[in-house]
Amino acid sequence: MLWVALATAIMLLSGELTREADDGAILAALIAALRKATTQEVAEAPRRAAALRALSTFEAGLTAYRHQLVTFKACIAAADAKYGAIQADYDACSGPLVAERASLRSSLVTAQSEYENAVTEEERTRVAQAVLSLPEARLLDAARTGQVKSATPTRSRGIEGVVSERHVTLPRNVVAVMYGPLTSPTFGQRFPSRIIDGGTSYAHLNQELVDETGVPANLWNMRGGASVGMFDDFEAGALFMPLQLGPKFHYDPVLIFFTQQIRLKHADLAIRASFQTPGDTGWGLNPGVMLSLPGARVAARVGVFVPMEVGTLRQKIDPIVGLNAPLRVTWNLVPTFFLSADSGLAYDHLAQKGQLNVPLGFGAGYSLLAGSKVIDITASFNWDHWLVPAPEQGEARLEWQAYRIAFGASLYFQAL
Amino acid sequence: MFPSRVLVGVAALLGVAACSSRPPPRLAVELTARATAKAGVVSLVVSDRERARRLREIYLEVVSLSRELDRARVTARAQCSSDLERQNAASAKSDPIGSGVLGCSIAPPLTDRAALDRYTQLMLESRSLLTPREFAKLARVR
Repeated sequence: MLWVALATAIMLLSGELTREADDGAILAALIAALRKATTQEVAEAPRRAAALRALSTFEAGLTAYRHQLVTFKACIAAADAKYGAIQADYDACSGPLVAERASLRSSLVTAQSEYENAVTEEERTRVAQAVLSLPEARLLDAARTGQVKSATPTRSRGIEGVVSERHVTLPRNVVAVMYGPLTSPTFGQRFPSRIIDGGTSYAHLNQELVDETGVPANLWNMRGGASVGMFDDFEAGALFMPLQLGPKFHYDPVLIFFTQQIRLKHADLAIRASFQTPGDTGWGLNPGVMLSLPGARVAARVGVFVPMEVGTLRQKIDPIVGLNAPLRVTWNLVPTFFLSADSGLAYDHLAQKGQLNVPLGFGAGYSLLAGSKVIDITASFNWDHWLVPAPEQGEARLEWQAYRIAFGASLYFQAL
Repeated sequence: MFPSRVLVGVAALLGVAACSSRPPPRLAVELTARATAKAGVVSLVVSDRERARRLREIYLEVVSLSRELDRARVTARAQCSSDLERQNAASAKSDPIGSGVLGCSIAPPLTDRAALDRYTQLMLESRSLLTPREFAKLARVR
Protein backbone atom coordinates (compact mmCIF):
# COMPACT_ATOMS: atom_id res chain seq x y z
CA MET A 1 0.00 0.00 0.00
CA LEU A 2 2.83 2.37 0.90
CA TRP A 3 4.53 1.72 -2.42
CA VAL A 4 1.32 2.19 -4.38
CA ALA A 5 0.74 5.49 -2.56
CA LEU A 6 4.31 6.62 -3.17
CA ALA A 7 4.21 5.69 -6.86
CA THR A 8 0.80 7.34 -7.27
CA ALA A 9 1.97 10.49 -5.48
CA ILE A 10 5.03 10.78 -7.73
CA MET A 11 2.97 10.20 -10.86
CA LEU A 12 0.38 12.71 -9.66
CA LEU A 13 2.99 15.39 -9.00
CA SER A 14 4.86 14.79 -12.24
CA GLY A 15 1.64 14.87 -14.29
CA GLU A 16 2.20 11.31 -15.47
CA LEU A 17 -1.26 10.15 -14.37
CA THR A 18 -2.90 12.81 -16.53
CA ARG A 19 -0.74 11.89 -19.51
CA GLU A 20 -1.67 8.23 -19.16
CA ALA A 21 -5.37 8.79 -18.57
CA ASP A 22 -8.03 8.76 -21.24
CA ASP A 23 -9.53 12.18 -22.04
CA GLY A 24 -12.94 11.44 -20.51
CA ALA A 25 -12.51 13.52 -17.36
CA ILE A 26 -11.26 16.55 -19.33
CA LEU A 27 -14.10 16.30 -21.84
CA ALA A 28 -16.61 15.99 -18.99
CA ALA A 29 -15.16 19.17 -17.44
CA LEU A 30 -15.45 20.97 -20.78
CA ILE A 31 -19.08 19.94 -21.23
CA ALA A 32 -19.83 21.07 -17.66
CA ALA A 33 -18.24 24.45 -18.48
CA LEU A 34 -20.31 24.68 -21.68
CA ARG A 35 -23.43 23.95 -19.66
CA LYS A 36 -22.59 26.67 -17.14
CA ALA A 37 -21.73 29.25 -19.80
CA THR A 38 -24.83 28.40 -21.84
CA THR A 39 -27.04 28.82 -18.76
CA GLN A 40 -25.49 32.24 -18.16
CA GLU A 41 -25.38 33.51 -21.72
CA VAL A 42 -28.62 32.28 -23.31
CA ALA A 43 -31.32 34.60 -22.04
CA GLU A 44 -34.56 33.07 -23.36
CA ALA A 45 -35.76 30.07 -21.39
CA PRO A 46 -37.05 27.88 -24.29
CA ARG A 47 -33.86 28.35 -26.31
CA ARG A 48 -31.75 27.77 -23.22
CA ALA A 49 -33.64 24.55 -22.46
CA ALA A 50 -33.12 23.33 -26.02
CA ALA A 51 -29.39 24.14 -25.85
CA LEU A 52 -29.03 22.34 -22.53
CA ARG A 53 -30.86 19.31 -23.98
CA ALA A 54 -28.31 19.25 -26.78
CA LEU A 55 -25.51 19.40 -24.23
CA SER A 56 -27.13 16.49 -22.38
CA THR A 57 -26.81 14.50 -25.62
CA PHE A 58 -23.09 15.33 -25.66
CA GLU A 59 -22.82 14.14 -22.05
CA ALA A 60 -24.69 10.95 -22.86
CA GLY A 61 -22.43 10.50 -25.89
CA LEU A 62 -19.34 10.85 -23.75
CA THR A 63 -20.70 8.32 -21.25
CA ALA A 64 -21.48 5.92 -24.08
CA TYR A 65 -18.01 6.38 -25.58
CA ARG A 66 -16.31 5.72 -22.25
CA HIS A 67 -18.50 2.68 -21.73
CA GLN A 68 -17.50 1.40 -25.19
CA LEU A 69 -13.86 1.80 -24.26
CA VAL A 70 -14.20 0.06 -20.90
CA THR A 71 -16.04 -2.84 -22.52
CA PHE A 72 -13.50 -3.06 -25.32
CA LYS A 73 -10.50 -2.98 -22.97
CA ALA A 74 -12.07 -5.63 -20.73
CA CYS A 75 -12.81 -7.80 -23.77
CA ILE A 76 -9.20 -7.53 -25.02
CA ALA A 77 -7.84 -8.23 -21.53
CA ALA A 78 -10.06 -11.32 -21.27
CA ALA A 79 -8.87 -12.58 -24.68
CA ASP A 80 -5.25 -11.89 -23.73
CA ALA A 81 -5.65 -13.96 -20.57
CA LYS A 82 -7.12 -17.00 -22.40
CA TYR A 83 -4.61 -19.48 -23.80
CA GLY A 84 -7.12 -20.92 -26.26
CA ALA A 85 -8.15 -17.51 -27.61
CA ILE A 86 -8.52 -17.38 -31.39
CA GLN A 87 -9.04 -14.66 -33.97
CA ALA A 88 -12.79 -14.77 -33.35
CA ASP A 89 -12.30 -13.80 -29.69
CA TYR A 90 -10.48 -10.61 -30.69
CA ASP A 91 -12.91 -9.91 -33.55
CA ALA A 92 -15.76 -10.15 -31.04
CA CYS A 93 -14.17 -7.25 -29.15
CA SER A 94 -13.76 -4.88 -32.09
CA GLY A 95 -16.79 -6.02 -34.14
CA PRO A 96 -19.51 -3.98 -32.38
CA LEU A 97 -17.29 -0.89 -32.17
CA VAL A 98 -17.80 0.22 -35.77
CA ALA A 99 -21.59 0.30 -35.57
CA GLU A 100 -21.61 1.77 -32.08
CA ARG A 101 -19.18 4.53 -33.01
CA ALA A 102 -21.13 5.42 -36.20
CA SER A 103 -24.39 5.67 -34.26
CA LEU A 104 -22.70 7.81 -31.60
CA ARG A 105 -21.24 10.13 -34.21
CA SER A 106 -24.61 10.62 -35.85
CA SER A 107 -26.28 11.44 -32.49
CA LEU A 108 -23.56 14.00 -31.79
CA VAL A 109 -24.00 15.63 -35.22
CA THR A 110 -27.74 15.92 -34.51
CA ALA A 111 -27.00 17.42 -31.07
CA GLN A 112 -24.60 19.87 -32.68
CA SER A 113 -27.25 21.21 -35.07
CA GLU A 114 -29.83 21.35 -32.24
CA TYR A 115 -27.43 23.44 -30.19
CA GLU A 116 -26.64 25.73 -33.12
CA ASN A 117 -30.36 26.27 -33.78
CA ALA A 118 -31.00 27.13 -30.15
CA VAL A 119 -28.13 29.57 -29.59
CA THR A 120 -27.47 32.78 -31.51
CA GLU A 121 -24.08 33.48 -33.01
CA GLU A 122 -23.27 36.20 -30.46
CA GLU A 123 -24.22 33.91 -27.59
CA ARG A 124 -22.11 31.12 -29.04
CA THR A 125 -19.12 33.45 -29.27
CA ARG A 126 -19.46 34.39 -25.60
CA VAL A 127 -19.91 30.75 -24.56
CA ALA A 128 -16.86 29.78 -26.59
CA GLN A 129 -14.79 32.55 -24.99
CA ALA A 130 -15.75 31.37 -21.51
CA VAL A 131 -14.89 27.74 -22.28
CA LEU A 132 -11.73 28.28 -24.30
CA SER A 133 -10.14 30.23 -21.45
CA LEU A 134 -10.09 27.05 -19.35
CA PRO A 135 -6.88 24.97 -19.19
CA GLU A 136 -8.91 21.90 -20.24
CA ALA A 137 -9.52 23.59 -23.61
CA ARG A 138 -5.94 22.71 -24.56
CA LEU A 139 -7.32 19.28 -25.36
CA LEU A 140 -9.43 20.81 -28.14
CA ASP A 141 -6.37 22.55 -29.61
CA ALA A 142 -4.51 19.24 -29.53
CA ALA A 143 -7.50 17.57 -31.22
CA ARG A 144 -7.40 20.20 -33.98
CA THR A 145 -3.69 19.95 -34.58
CA GLY A 146 -3.34 16.20 -34.15
CA GLN A 147 -0.77 16.63 -31.42
CA VAL A 148 -0.08 13.33 -29.64
CA LYS A 149 -0.28 13.36 -25.85
CA SER A 150 2.93 11.54 -25.21
CA ALA A 151 2.97 9.18 -22.27
CA THR A 152 5.58 7.01 -23.86
CA PRO A 153 8.07 6.10 -21.18
CA THR A 154 11.70 6.31 -22.16
CA ARG A 155 12.31 3.00 -20.42
CA SER A 156 10.28 -0.16 -20.10
CA ARG A 157 8.58 -0.20 -16.71
CA GLY A 158 8.41 -3.94 -16.17
CA ILE A 159 10.59 -5.84 -13.75
CA GLU A 160 13.93 -6.78 -15.28
CA GLY A 161 14.26 -10.53 -14.93
CA VAL A 162 17.68 -11.76 -16.04
CA VAL A 163 20.34 -10.41 -13.66
CA SER A 164 22.98 -9.75 -16.32
CA GLU A 165 20.48 -7.68 -18.34
CA ARG A 166 19.51 -5.39 -15.49
CA HIS A 167 20.33 -1.72 -15.48
CA VAL A 168 21.92 0.08 -12.55
CA THR A 169 18.64 1.54 -11.31
CA LEU A 170 15.22 -0.05 -11.03
CA PRO A 171 12.61 0.80 -13.66
CA ARG A 172 10.02 3.33 -12.58
CA ASN A 173 7.48 2.06 -10.04
CA VAL A 174 9.43 -1.14 -9.47
CA VAL A 175 10.17 -1.82 -5.82
CA ALA A 176 12.95 -4.02 -4.45
CA VAL A 177 12.74 -5.44 -0.97
CA MET A 178 16.38 -6.27 -0.37
CA TYR A 179 17.48 -8.94 1.98
CA GLY A 180 20.29 -10.52 0.07
CA PRO A 181 23.80 -9.77 -1.18
CA LEU A 182 24.78 -8.80 -4.73
CA THR A 183 22.05 -6.23 -5.27
CA SER A 184 22.80 -3.12 -7.30
CA PRO A 185 22.45 -0.55 -4.45
CA THR A 186 25.01 -2.32 -2.24
CA PHE A 187 27.63 -2.53 -4.99
CA GLY A 188 30.64 -0.53 -3.78
CA GLN A 189 29.23 0.23 -0.32
CA ARG A 190 32.58 -0.16 1.40
CA PHE A 191 33.01 2.46 4.13
CA PRO A 192 36.24 2.86 6.11
CA SER A 193 34.80 1.14 9.18
CA ARG A 194 32.36 -1.34 7.64
CA ILE A 195 31.43 -3.10 4.43
CA ILE A 196 27.72 -3.13 3.74
CA ASP A 197 25.78 -5.78 1.87
CA GLY A 198 22.26 -7.12 2.25
CA GLY A 199 21.15 -10.34 3.89
CA THR A 200 22.54 -12.35 6.75
CA SER A 201 26.30 -12.20 6.87
CA TYR A 202 29.15 -13.63 8.89
CA ALA A 203 32.54 -11.91 8.73
CA HIS A 204 35.70 -13.41 10.16
CA LEU A 205 38.85 -11.30 10.58
CA ASN A 206 42.34 -12.48 11.52
CA GLN A 207 44.05 -10.99 14.60
CA GLU A 208 46.09 -8.52 12.58
CA LEU A 209 43.00 -6.96 11.01
CA VAL A 210 41.18 -6.99 14.35
CA ASP A 211 44.01 -4.96 15.87
CA GLU A 212 44.17 -2.66 12.87
CA THR A 213 40.46 -1.92 12.41
CA GLY A 214 39.05 -2.51 15.90
CA VAL A 215 36.29 -4.64 14.36
CA PRO A 216 35.41 -7.87 16.26
CA ALA A 217 36.91 -11.08 14.90
CA ASN A 218 33.56 -12.78 14.36
CA LEU A 219 30.77 -10.53 13.26
CA TRP A 220 27.18 -11.48 12.48
CA ASN A 221 24.95 -8.99 10.67
CA MET A 222 21.48 -8.85 9.22
CA ARG A 223 20.73 -6.08 6.77
CA GLY A 224 17.51 -5.45 4.91
CA GLY A 225 15.79 -2.56 3.25
CA ALA A 226 14.02 -1.37 0.16
CA SER A 227 14.57 0.71 -2.92
CA VAL A 228 12.19 2.08 -5.50
CA GLY A 229 12.51 3.33 -9.06
CA MET A 230 11.04 6.79 -8.57
CA PHE A 231 11.54 7.93 -12.15
CA ASP A 232 12.67 6.12 -15.30
CA ASP A 233 16.35 6.42 -14.33
CA PHE A 234 16.29 7.51 -10.72
CA GLU A 235 16.23 5.20 -7.75
CA ALA A 236 16.20 5.87 -4.02
CA GLY A 237 16.23 3.52 -1.09
CA ALA A 238 17.62 2.57 2.27
CA LEU A 239 18.90 -0.38 4.22
CA PHE A 240 16.82 0.55 7.24
CA MET A 241 17.11 -2.75 9.06
CA PRO A 242 20.84 -2.94 9.78
CA LEU A 243 21.36 -5.20 12.77
CA GLN A 244 24.54 -6.49 14.30
CA LEU A 245 23.62 -9.82 15.80
CA GLY A 246 26.95 -10.82 17.30
CA PRO A 247 29.21 -10.73 19.20
CA LYS A 248 26.95 -8.03 20.67
CA PHE A 249 23.49 -7.11 19.42
CA HIS A 250 23.00 -3.53 18.32
CA TYR A 251 21.40 -1.40 15.65
CA ASP A 252 23.93 -0.37 13.00
CA PRO A 253 23.75 2.89 11.03
CA VAL A 254 21.09 3.12 8.34
CA LEU A 255 22.33 3.37 4.76
CA ILE A 256 20.44 5.70 2.43
CA PHE A 257 21.20 5.99 -1.28
CA PHE A 258 20.10 7.87 -4.39
CA THR A 259 21.18 6.82 -7.86
CA GLN A 260 20.74 8.66 -11.13
CA GLN A 261 21.47 6.71 -14.28
CA ILE A 262 22.23 7.76 -17.83
CA ARG A 263 21.43 4.99 -20.29
CA LEU A 264 23.69 4.86 -23.29
CA LYS A 265 23.36 2.44 -26.20
CA HIS A 266 25.28 -0.46 -24.68
CA ALA A 267 26.21 0.89 -21.26
CA ASP A 268 24.82 2.67 -18.25
CA LEU A 269 26.59 5.48 -16.51
CA ALA A 270 25.37 6.23 -13.00
CA ILE A 271 26.04 8.64 -10.19
CA ARG A 272 25.22 7.49 -6.68
CA ALA A 273 25.16 9.42 -3.44
CA SER A 274 24.99 7.29 -0.30
CA PHE A 275 25.19 8.21 3.31
CA GLN A 276 25.04 6.46 6.64
CA THR A 277 23.44 7.77 9.79
CA PRO A 278 26.03 8.39 12.52
CA GLY A 279 27.91 5.41 13.92
CA ASP A 280 31.11 5.26 15.99
CA THR A 281 32.88 7.45 13.44
CA GLY A 282 29.97 9.78 12.77
CA TRP A 283 28.22 10.32 9.47
CA GLY A 284 29.34 8.22 6.55
CA LEU A 285 29.28 9.48 2.97
CA ASN A 286 29.97 7.51 -0.16
CA PRO A 287 29.60 9.44 -3.41
CA GLY A 288 30.67 7.74 -6.59
CA VAL A 289 30.15 6.88 -10.22
CA MET A 290 29.49 3.55 -11.88
CA LEU A 291 29.76 2.20 -15.38
CA SER A 292 27.71 -0.86 -16.17
CA LEU A 293 27.73 -3.02 -19.29
CA PRO A 294 24.62 -5.19 -19.23
CA GLY A 295 24.41 -8.16 -21.56
CA ALA A 296 22.30 -11.21 -22.36
CA ARG A 297 24.78 -13.58 -20.66
CA VAL A 298 27.63 -11.54 -19.22
CA ALA A 299 27.56 -8.18 -17.51
CA ALA A 300 30.33 -6.09 -16.03
CA ARG A 301 30.18 -3.21 -13.62
CA VAL A 302 32.91 -0.98 -12.35
CA GLY A 303 32.75 1.98 -10.00
CA VAL A 304 34.82 4.62 -8.30
CA PHE A 305 33.71 5.75 -4.86
CA VAL A 306 35.14 8.05 -2.24
CA PRO A 307 33.84 6.71 1.08
CA MET A 308 34.37 8.87 4.11
CA GLU A 309 33.44 9.04 7.74
CA VAL A 310 33.31 12.58 9.05
CA GLY A 311 32.15 12.54 12.65
CA THR A 312 29.23 14.62 13.86
CA LEU A 313 28.77 18.20 15.03
CA ARG A 314 29.12 17.04 18.64
CA GLN A 315 31.76 14.39 18.11
CA LYS A 316 34.31 15.95 15.79
CA ILE A 317 36.96 13.73 14.21
CA ASP A 318 39.51 14.08 11.45
CA PRO A 319 37.64 12.78 8.42
CA ILE A 320 38.59 9.26 7.40
CA VAL A 321 38.61 9.23 3.62
CA GLY A 322 39.09 6.19 1.43
CA LEU A 323 39.00 5.30 -2.23
CA ASN A 324 37.21 2.28 -3.60
CA ALA A 325 37.10 0.99 -7.17
CA PRO A 326 34.98 -2.18 -7.19
CA LEU A 327 34.56 -4.45 -10.19
CA ARG A 328 31.88 -7.12 -10.66
CA VAL A 329 31.41 -9.54 -13.50
CA THR A 330 28.14 -11.46 -13.66
CA TRP A 331 27.63 -14.50 -15.84
CA ASN A 332 24.16 -15.92 -16.39
CA LEU A 333 24.74 -19.59 -17.16
CA VAL A 334 21.02 -19.84 -17.84
CA PRO A 335 18.54 -16.97 -17.53
CA THR A 336 17.56 -18.06 -14.04
CA PHE A 337 21.00 -18.83 -12.59
CA PHE A 338 24.06 -16.62 -12.38
CA LEU A 339 27.58 -16.62 -11.00
CA SER A 340 29.50 -13.50 -10.13
CA ALA A 341 33.07 -12.51 -9.38
CA ASP A 342 34.04 -9.39 -7.47
CA SER A 343 37.38 -7.65 -7.22
CA GLY A 344 38.84 -4.17 -7.64
CA LEU A 345 40.93 -1.90 -5.49
CA ALA A 346 40.14 -0.51 -2.08
CA TYR A 347 42.08 2.01 -0.06
CA ASP A 348 40.18 2.27 3.22
CA HIS A 349 42.12 5.19 4.75
CA LEU A 350 44.06 7.43 2.39
CA ALA A 351 45.93 9.15 5.23
CA GLN A 352 47.54 5.90 6.33
CA LYS A 353 50.19 3.98 4.46
CA GLY A 354 49.78 0.37 3.46
CA GLN A 355 45.96 0.39 3.35
CA LEU A 356 45.63 -0.69 -0.25
CA ASN A 357 43.63 -3.92 -0.64
CA VAL A 358 42.59 -6.04 -3.55
CA PRO A 359 39.38 -7.82 -2.59
CA LEU A 360 38.19 -11.01 -4.20
CA GLY A 361 34.74 -12.49 -4.02
CA PHE A 362 32.39 -14.95 -5.64
CA GLY A 363 28.66 -15.12 -5.69
CA ALA A 364 25.77 -17.10 -7.08
CA GLY A 365 22.08 -16.51 -7.40
CA TYR A 366 18.84 -18.00 -8.64
CA SER A 367 16.04 -15.82 -10.04
CA LEU A 368 12.52 -17.08 -9.68
CA LEU A 369 9.27 -15.70 -11.03
CA ALA A 370 6.60 -16.11 -8.36
CA GLY A 371 3.28 -14.75 -9.62
CA SER A 372 3.99 -11.15 -10.52
CA LYS A 373 7.13 -10.92 -8.40
CA VAL A 374 10.75 -11.84 -9.09
CA ILE A 375 12.75 -13.30 -6.23
CA ASP A 376 16.54 -13.48 -6.31
CA ILE A 377 18.03 -16.02 -3.91
CA THR A 378 21.67 -15.06 -3.55
CA ALA A 379 24.83 -15.96 -1.67
CA SER A 380 28.34 -14.56 -1.72
CA PHE A 381 31.79 -15.35 -0.35
CA ASN A 382 34.33 -12.52 -0.14
CA TRP A 383 37.87 -11.95 0.94
CA ASP A 384 37.54 -8.21 1.52
CA HIS A 385 41.30 -7.87 2.22
CA TRP A 386 42.43 -10.71 -0.05
CA LEU A 387 45.66 -9.17 -1.33
CA VAL A 388 47.59 -6.47 0.49
CA PRO A 389 50.13 -5.51 -2.20
CA ALA A 390 52.06 -2.87 -0.28
CA PRO A 391 51.67 -3.19 3.48
CA GLU A 392 53.35 -0.63 5.73
CA GLN A 393 55.58 -3.37 7.07
CA GLY A 394 56.76 -6.48 5.28
CA GLU A 395 55.99 -7.74 1.81
CA ALA A 396 52.81 -8.23 -0.18
CA ARG A 397 50.62 -10.88 1.38
CA LEU A 398 47.40 -12.77 0.86
CA GLU A 399 44.82 -12.69 3.67
CA TRP A 400 42.99 -15.99 3.33
CA GLN A 401 41.82 -16.01 6.94
CA ALA A 402 39.71 -12.86 6.71
CA TYR A 403 36.51 -13.62 4.85
CA ARG A 404 32.81 -12.78 4.74
CA ILE A 405 29.86 -14.98 3.82
CA ALA A 406 26.45 -13.53 3.04
CA PHE A 407 23.16 -15.00 1.91
CA GLY A 408 19.54 -13.99 1.54
CA ALA A 409 16.83 -13.16 -0.95
CA SER A 410 15.51 -10.01 -2.59
CA LEU A 411 12.04 -9.46 -3.95
CA TYR A 412 11.08 -7.26 -6.89
CA PHE A 413 7.57 -6.15 -7.76
CA GLN A 414 5.69 -3.43 -9.61
CA ALA A 415 3.99 -0.93 -7.33
CA LEU A 416 1.52 0.16 -10.03
CA MET B 1 9.54 21.29 14.43
CA PHE B 2 10.41 21.61 10.75
CA PRO B 3 11.12 17.89 10.15
CA SER B 4 7.88 16.88 11.88
CA ARG B 5 5.93 19.27 9.62
CA VAL B 6 7.67 17.85 6.58
CA LEU B 7 6.85 14.31 7.74
CA VAL B 8 3.19 15.23 8.29
CA GLY B 9 3.14 16.82 4.83
CA VAL B 10 4.64 13.73 3.20
CA ALA B 11 2.28 11.43 5.12
CA ALA B 12 -0.70 13.56 4.06
CA LEU B 13 0.42 13.50 0.43
CA LEU B 14 0.85 9.73 0.51
CA GLY B 15 -2.53 9.35 2.22
CA VAL B 16 -4.28 11.44 -0.42
CA ALA B 17 -2.49 9.54 -3.18
CA ALA B 18 -3.42 6.18 -1.65
CA CYS B 19 -7.07 7.13 -1.30
CA SER B 20 -7.51 8.93 -4.63
CA SER B 21 -8.88 6.94 -7.52
CA ARG B 22 -6.68 6.75 -10.59
CA PRO B 23 -8.28 7.97 -13.80
CA PRO B 24 -8.78 5.08 -16.24
CA PRO B 25 -5.71 4.72 -18.46
CA ARG B 26 -5.96 4.70 -22.23
CA LEU B 27 -6.02 1.39 -24.10
CA ALA B 28 -2.49 2.04 -25.36
CA VAL B 29 -1.22 2.51 -21.79
CA GLU B 30 -2.85 -0.74 -20.65
CA LEU B 31 -1.46 -2.73 -23.57
CA THR B 32 2.02 -1.26 -22.99
CA ALA B 33 1.90 -2.09 -19.28
CA ARG B 34 0.92 -5.72 -19.95
CA ALA B 35 3.53 -6.15 -22.67
CA THR B 36 6.43 -4.53 -20.78
CA ALA B 37 5.67 -6.52 -17.64
CA LYS B 38 5.99 -9.73 -19.65
CA ALA B 39 8.95 -8.64 -21.79
CA GLY B 40 11.19 -8.25 -18.75
CA VAL B 41 10.56 -11.67 -17.25
CA VAL B 42 9.83 -13.86 -20.27
CA SER B 43 13.35 -15.32 -20.15
CA LEU B 44 12.73 -16.57 -16.61
CA VAL B 45 9.65 -18.47 -17.80
CA VAL B 46 10.71 -19.75 -21.22
CA SER B 47 13.99 -21.60 -20.95
CA ASP B 48 14.47 -21.94 -24.72
CA ARG B 49 16.44 -18.81 -25.65
CA GLU B 50 15.14 -18.68 -29.22
CA ARG B 51 11.48 -18.78 -28.19
CA ALA B 52 12.13 -16.30 -25.39
CA ARG B 53 13.83 -13.92 -27.83
CA ARG B 54 10.92 -14.02 -30.28
CA LEU B 55 8.39 -13.54 -27.48
CA ARG B 56 10.31 -10.56 -26.22
CA GLU B 57 10.28 -9.09 -29.73
CA ILE B 58 6.52 -9.60 -29.83
CA TYR B 59 5.98 -7.81 -26.54
CA LEU B 60 8.21 -4.94 -27.62
CA GLU B 61 6.32 -4.67 -30.90
CA VAL B 62 3.12 -4.37 -28.86
CA VAL B 63 4.68 -1.33 -27.18
CA SER B 64 5.32 0.23 -30.61
CA LEU B 65 1.78 -0.65 -31.70
CA SER B 66 0.42 1.07 -28.63
CA ARG B 67 2.13 4.25 -29.73
CA GLU B 68 0.59 3.78 -33.17
CA LEU B 69 -2.84 3.37 -31.56
CA ASP B 70 -2.38 6.67 -29.76
CA ARG B 71 -1.23 8.37 -32.94
CA ALA B 72 -4.10 6.90 -34.98
CA ARG B 73 -6.69 8.10 -32.44
CA VAL B 74 -5.28 11.63 -32.38
CA THR B 75 -4.90 11.79 -36.15
CA ALA B 76 -8.51 10.63 -36.53
CA ARG B 77 -9.68 13.42 -34.25
CA ALA B 78 -7.65 16.02 -36.12
CA GLN B 79 -8.88 14.76 -39.51
CA CYS B 80 -12.48 14.76 -38.30
CA SER B 81 -12.12 18.30 -36.88
CA SER B 82 -10.46 19.71 -39.98
CA ASP B 83 -13.10 18.13 -42.29
CA LEU B 84 -15.87 19.74 -40.26
CA GLU B 85 -14.09 23.07 -39.94
CA ARG B 86 -13.74 23.28 -43.71
CA GLN B 87 -17.52 22.92 -44.04
CA ASN B 88 -18.32 25.52 -41.36
CA ALA B 89 -18.35 29.32 -41.46
CA ALA B 90 -15.25 31.11 -40.26
CA SER B 91 -17.08 32.42 -37.20
CA ALA B 92 -17.85 28.88 -36.03
CA LYS B 93 -14.24 27.77 -36.07
CA SER B 94 -13.51 29.01 -32.57
CA ASP B 95 -16.73 27.48 -31.23
CA PRO B 96 -16.05 24.02 -29.75
CA ILE B 97 -19.52 22.74 -30.64
CA GLY B 98 -20.10 24.60 -33.90
CA SER B 99 -16.71 23.63 -35.29
CA GLY B 100 -17.43 19.98 -34.47
CA VAL B 101 -14.22 19.59 -32.52
CA LEU B 102 -16.05 18.56 -29.34
CA GLY B 103 -18.00 15.85 -31.17
CA CYS B 104 -14.81 14.63 -32.85
CA SER B 105 -13.04 14.52 -29.48
CA ILE B 106 -15.84 12.57 -27.82
CA ALA B 107 -16.20 9.98 -30.54
CA PRO B 108 -13.42 10.02 -33.10
CA PRO B 109 -13.92 7.83 -36.17
CA LEU B 110 -12.35 4.38 -35.96
CA THR B 111 -9.11 4.39 -37.90
CA ASP B 112 -6.91 2.15 -35.76
CA ARG B 113 -8.05 -1.17 -37.18
CA ALA B 114 -4.68 -1.97 -38.76
CA ALA B 115 -2.88 -1.64 -35.42
CA LEU B 116 -5.53 -3.72 -33.67
CA ASP B 117 -5.35 -6.42 -36.31
CA ARG B 118 -1.57 -6.55 -35.93
CA TYR B 119 -1.99 -6.76 -32.16
CA THR B 120 -4.30 -9.75 -32.60
CA GLN B 121 -1.78 -11.47 -34.90
CA LEU B 122 1.00 -10.93 -32.37
CA MET B 123 -1.04 -12.26 -29.49
CA LEU B 124 -1.99 -15.35 -31.48
CA GLU B 125 1.65 -15.89 -32.46
CA SER B 126 2.71 -15.60 -28.82
CA ARG B 127 0.37 -18.50 -27.97
CA SER B 128 2.00 -20.66 -30.60
CA LEU B 129 5.35 -20.08 -28.85
CA LEU B 130 4.14 -20.81 -25.33
CA THR B 131 3.04 -23.95 -23.58
CA PRO B 132 -0.16 -23.62 -21.50
CA ARG B 133 1.95 -23.66 -18.33
CA GLU B 134 4.28 -20.92 -19.55
CA PHE B 135 1.30 -18.90 -20.76
CA ALA B 136 -0.40 -19.18 -17.36
CA LYS B 137 2.79 -18.07 -15.59
CA LEU B 138 3.18 -15.03 -17.83
CA ALA B 139 -0.51 -14.17 -17.56
CA ARG B 140 -0.10 -13.89 -13.79
CA VAL B 141 2.62 -11.24 -14.20
CA ARG B 142 0.03 -8.64 -15.21
